[in-house]
Amino acid sequence: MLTGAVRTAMEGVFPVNIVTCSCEGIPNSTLLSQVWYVDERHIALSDQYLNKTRVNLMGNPNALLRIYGEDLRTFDLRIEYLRTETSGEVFKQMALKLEAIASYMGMLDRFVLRGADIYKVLEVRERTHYWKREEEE
Amino acid sequence: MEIKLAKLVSGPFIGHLGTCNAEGRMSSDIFCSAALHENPDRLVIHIGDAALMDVRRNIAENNYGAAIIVDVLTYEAIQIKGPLTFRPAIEEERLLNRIRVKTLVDLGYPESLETMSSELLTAIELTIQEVYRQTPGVGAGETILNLKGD
Repeated sequence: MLTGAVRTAMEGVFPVNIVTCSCEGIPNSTLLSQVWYVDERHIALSDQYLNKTRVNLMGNPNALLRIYGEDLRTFDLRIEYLRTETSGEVFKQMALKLEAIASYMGMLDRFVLRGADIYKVLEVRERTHYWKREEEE
Repeated sequence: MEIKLAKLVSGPFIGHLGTCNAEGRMSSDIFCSAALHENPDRLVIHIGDAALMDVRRNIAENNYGAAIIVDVLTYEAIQIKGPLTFRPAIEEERLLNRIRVKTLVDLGYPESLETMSSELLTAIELTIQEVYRQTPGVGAGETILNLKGD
C-alpha cells in the first residue's frame, strides 16, 4: 500500500497535515514534523504537542494525513490510530530525526518527542491532479 | 487577536483547511493566500477550485472547518475554526493569491507551487468561532478565543 512514490513524498519538504474529527463533528487540523515508515501497512507519526488531536482520536480513531512531496506530488492517507510507543526502535529513530529537524529549524528547545503514534493505513489516494493547470486538463 | 491574525495572513504563510462530513470522513487542502474580511470576525481563504471537491462535499453535510496557518519564516502558527461559506473569488483576491505564491517560490519553495496561482479560485469565508495557539512548544493548543463557550 505504501509504494515508493508515497514513501518519497513522506520525505518531502512540506510539513504533513493531519485532520482529525471529534465525535461532535468538529474537525482539527494541525501539522507534524515527520511521518515514519514502519511497514507496508503502518506508519508512525511524531507526537509533540498533539493535545486536541489525541482527544479526538480517543473518540474517533480515524484521521486523514495529507502529504506533499518536493514536486508537490500529493497523497491522502486514511489512517487509523492503533497505539503510542514511548520506547523501542521506532521511537528512538524518530527522536533522532526530530532532533535533526529541530536543529535545522533552530527550535531544539521546543521539539520534544512525547511518543511515536502508530497508525494502520486504510487507504492511499493520490491527489496530484489537483495541481494541474486548467489548460493541462 | 484580530491584529495577530491580520499580521499572520499578511506575511508569507502556508495554511491547511480541514473539514469532515457527517460520517467523519475528512479532507485537507493547502492554501497560501487569505485576508481578514472587512467584518473582522471572518477570515477569507483562497483555494483553487480544482482542489475543493472533497471540501464542497463535506460542508454540504457539516460546514464547520478548521484552518491552521503557519508563518513560514518564524513558524508561528494558529488554528482557527468556524462555519464555512463559499463564493467565487474576485480579481483582487486572484491577484493577492498570485503574489503570495510568487513570494513563497522566491523564498525557495518548489516552483511547482505556482500551479496554485489558479484563475479558477474560490473564496472561502470562515466565521471565526475558535482560535488556538499552534506554535511548536509549550503553549501549543492553548485557547486564544472560544465563542462556542465549551
